[in-house]
This record gives sequence, C-alpha cells and structure tokens, in this order.
Amino acid sequence: MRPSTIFYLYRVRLRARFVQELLAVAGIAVGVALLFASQVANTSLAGSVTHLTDGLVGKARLQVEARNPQGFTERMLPAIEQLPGVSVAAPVLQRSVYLVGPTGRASVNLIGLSPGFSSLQGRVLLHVSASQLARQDGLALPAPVAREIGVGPLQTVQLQSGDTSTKTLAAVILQAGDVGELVDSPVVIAPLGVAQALTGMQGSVNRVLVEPRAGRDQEVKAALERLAAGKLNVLPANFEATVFGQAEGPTAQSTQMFSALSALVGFLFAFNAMLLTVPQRRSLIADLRLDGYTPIEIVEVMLFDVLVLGMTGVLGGLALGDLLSRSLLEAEPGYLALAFPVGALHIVTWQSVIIAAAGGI
Amino acid sequence: MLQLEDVVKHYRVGDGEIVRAVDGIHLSVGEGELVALYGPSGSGKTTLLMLIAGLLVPDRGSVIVNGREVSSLSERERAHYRRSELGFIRQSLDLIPGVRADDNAALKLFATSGRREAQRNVAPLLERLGLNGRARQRAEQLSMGERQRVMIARALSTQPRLVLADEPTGSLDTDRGREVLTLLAEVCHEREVGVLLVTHDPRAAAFADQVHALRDGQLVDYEPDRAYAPFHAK
Repeated sequence: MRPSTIFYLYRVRLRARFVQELLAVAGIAVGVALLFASQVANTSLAGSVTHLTDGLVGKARLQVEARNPQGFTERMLPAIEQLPGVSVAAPVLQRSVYLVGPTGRASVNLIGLSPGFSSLQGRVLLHVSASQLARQDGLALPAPVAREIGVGPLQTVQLQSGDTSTKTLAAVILQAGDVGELVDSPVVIAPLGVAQALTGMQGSVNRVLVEPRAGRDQEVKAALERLAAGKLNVLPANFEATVFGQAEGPTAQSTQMFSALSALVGFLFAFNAMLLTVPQRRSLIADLRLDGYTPIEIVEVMLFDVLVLGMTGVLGGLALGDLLSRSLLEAEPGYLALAFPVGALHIVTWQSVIIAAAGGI
Repeated sequence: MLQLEDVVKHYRVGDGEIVRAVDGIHLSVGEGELVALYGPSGSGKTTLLMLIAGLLVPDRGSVIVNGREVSSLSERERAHYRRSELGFIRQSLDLIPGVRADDNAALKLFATSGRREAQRNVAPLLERLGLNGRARQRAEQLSMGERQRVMIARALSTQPRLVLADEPTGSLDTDRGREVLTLLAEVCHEREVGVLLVTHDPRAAAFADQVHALRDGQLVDYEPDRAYAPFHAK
C-alpha cells in the first residue's frame, strides 16, 4: 500500500474514532509527562551541583581542602605553586552565607577567588579578566539572586555569615551572557580579599585548586599529600560533585521509584484508552487479511497508526512534562540545599527525552 | 473452479474434546454457478470458508481453486490468491467506518494502485450495483442494503473467479435481502463468477444452482422444510 494511501486511510478512519483516539493520545501524554518530568527533575538537581563544580574548577584536577570551616592559611599557596609539576594553583574561599536585600533574603554560596584563578578557565570567570576581578570592590551576584532580594548594581546589600553581619556593595549583576547557565546557581563571587573580610576569615582559604602539568597528576598528588602532612585533604578537584552524588542517593532512589510508578500509571492510562480503539483495529485487520493483504502490509498500516498515536502522545507528553518539571517538581530538597549549592538549573538531557519517548512509543 | 475433496478440520477444545468442525466434505463450484450452503450456527460453515480462503489449513483433504491446492501455497501466495482470485463478502457492518463508499469498495485495489486509480476502477462496478450517487458517502451514512452492495463491489473489484459470501443478508430486512441476493446472482452470472453462499436465508435457495446443508461438519441433503436459522434450531 502506498504511503499516501496509508495516510489517507488513517485520516478518514480518524473521523469515526476521534474521541477514542484523543483519549489514547491523552493517556500516552500523561504517562510520558510524568516520566519525563521526574527524569528532568532528577537530572537538574544533580546537574546544578555538577555544573557549578565544573564551572568553578575549570582545568584543575586536584585540590587541597581544609577539614574544618575555619580553613587553612593562604601562606601555603607559594609552597604549592613551587611544587614540581604544578602548572596553576588557585586559592578559594567558599562559605554558605545569607544575602539580605530590600525585598528578600537568599541563601547563597560566597566564593572568594584570586585573580590567578582565571588561569584555570572555569566557566565561572570565563568572561571576567584577572584585572577586572582584582578591581572589583564588592560582590558579583547572578541576576536571579539579585532579583530575589531586590538589589541592583552598586546598591548596598547585607551579608550574614555565622554571627557577623556586614554591609557590602553589589558591584556586578551577572547575566547568562557572563556565566552561562551558571547564572541559575546560588553563588556570589567576590575577590578573595573581599570574601575574607566579609566572613572574618582574613588570611584563610578553604581550598587550593591545582592544575598539574600533563601526565604528572600522580607525582603532584603525592607531593601535595606530603605537604598536607595529614592535616589537610588532597582530593580530586570535582570531589564536591562526587559527594553530592552520594548525598542525593535517597532523592535519586525516590525519583527512580516515582519514574517507575509514572511509567506504570502512564501505561495503564494509555492501555485503557487504546482498548477503546481495539475493536475497530481488529475489524480492520480482519478486513485486510480477507482482502489479500500480506502480514507485512497489515503491519505497515498498524505501524503508521502506532507512530501517529505514539508521536503525538510523546510530543504532547514532553511539552507537558517540561511544564511539570518547571512548576510542580522544581522545589529542591531542603537537606541538600543546606550543604550544596543546589541551583534552579533546568537540565534536559537526551537520555531523559529518549527514555520518555521510548516509553511513549 | 472450486473443488473440495474429503476436507477435514478438527479442533481440540479445552477439556480435550475434539470438535469436528469440517468432517470429510466433498463439494464443487463451477464458473458462473451459485451454490447455497445452509446450516445452523456451529455447523462448520465459517470454518469451511476460512479453509477455502486459505486462512486455515485442513487436517486432511484438498481445497483446489483454479487447479491449485490452496494449502500448498506460501503465506504470501495465499495473500495474493485472496487478493486477486477470491472475493469475500461479509456482513455489512464490516465496512470501515469513516471511509467513503468508493474507498471502502476499492480497499482491495489499494494494495496495488493509488487511490485515484482505484476509485476509477471501482466506479463502473458501483454504478452496476446502483451506488453511483452514493459513492462519496461515508460508510455510516449508507443504509444497510447499500453497505452490503459496497461489500459486493469490494469483493468483485479485483475481478475474482470465486466469491465466498458469509451471511450477506444477515443484517437486512426481507426486501433489502431479496435485492442483494438478486444483484449478487445477476452480477456473478454476468461475470461467470462462481459463488459459494453460506446463509440462513431460505430465499437464497431460489437463486442457487446447487443447494446443500451442513450439519455437524458434514454435507447433508437440503430439506426445504427444515429451518436452518439458529433461532429455529431444535
């Protein structure tokens, strides 16, 4: 049978079973939407931390990290820089703080960076030069955070860290063009000296990111461990993402369970709805068999039905799922947000699309 | 044209009992001949039609159409045989809903031709069957008699030499039933098409060249006074 005839037959048959077909599409769409939304919510949660970590560490592959919130002295930096095999070493001060503006309060991660940090080429500072960072006298806030607390460029904002509260300047409002998708992460960037002063940690840092020269990772790691003398951790640069991966285990499990239940509910929806159209399809199959159509030709006709029904359901479901993931499922798990910079990134991966689409088809 | 030689088809049902649906049938239908086959429900009529159509394979015996043993054909050859050498008339409710009368009639032709060409080819047949003014109506807009005529048009659309008709008047009132039987007999005689008509309708005997009855899977003599309709079964 010619494709145009198959299409014509589908179209005219649709007139006689429009409501049943619509219910079947709706059933598939609901199933796909639930599955897709839960997948996207999970990916976005893990992805926001991974994106921030990757965006911060850039080309660094190792880090020396303090074991307590007080950090360690930045005077270690020259010793690290002089180790054989070290290409770049950049100190970082990172603390969870609250920013209070005229219209609100936001929990953010304050990241203090030295101008040398731009050598690591992390996305956080991709469009900020070392000299710009050195001249900045205040905080660089992502636009969503600035909106949340109601502060504009060069306006005063209150920073609360531990038991201290300090007024400072919102020097720069970062847009997506400056830091890409990291604009949705709850991070605030400041020159290292400013961050140390605001948090009362003068002369201290939390960690030093290290980029070893090519092929010398093991050698540099061993040297860093000797230098740390058991008082500091020597870890992979993206260790925070690994820790987050462990911490979000329960959330991931519940999301997987929700995905499985969504798939089951969707399947039942679609199955029930499609049962409504089964008698007509069976009758058509019987007609075609008696009228001399080969099994392959009958499969072609039915496959076209499946594709139209499935594709329509899947497209509708993906759109609905995207909407669901942005509205109902966007709330971050509180216990993770306390310890990690969980942002509002909306990450849609091909895997999520393929899993949901395959389920729908 | 159609020869059935000692055709046997048995089924085993759930409790192991064997149902002799078709049990040693000998029958022949010649060109332009209309053979009526009476029998109550469960007498094996539909099984016999499925065996002739090549949708079932006999346990024993031969189904020979135009000199070829149907059960020896491959799946593809049997589909081709049903498409080009056989017409099958079912009850009128089997038309595809939502589809126009001419497209319903041209369904068999769609396998090898485009829609326009198939519609052109089927138009004279629809005219002969008195449907030329109704060709663009959808199936559900047709009367039961018209639907049955569309089924006849579909069965004859590929100019087959044998037509199997399964209760073609089953859904029709007396007048429409007589109309359909008259048309079927006329058109098949004109085209020298052999027809095997399975029915409960006692009027069909008047149009038939041969009349048989089927009871418990076996052919028996037709007794005009005996009622074969299921609601008359004793």
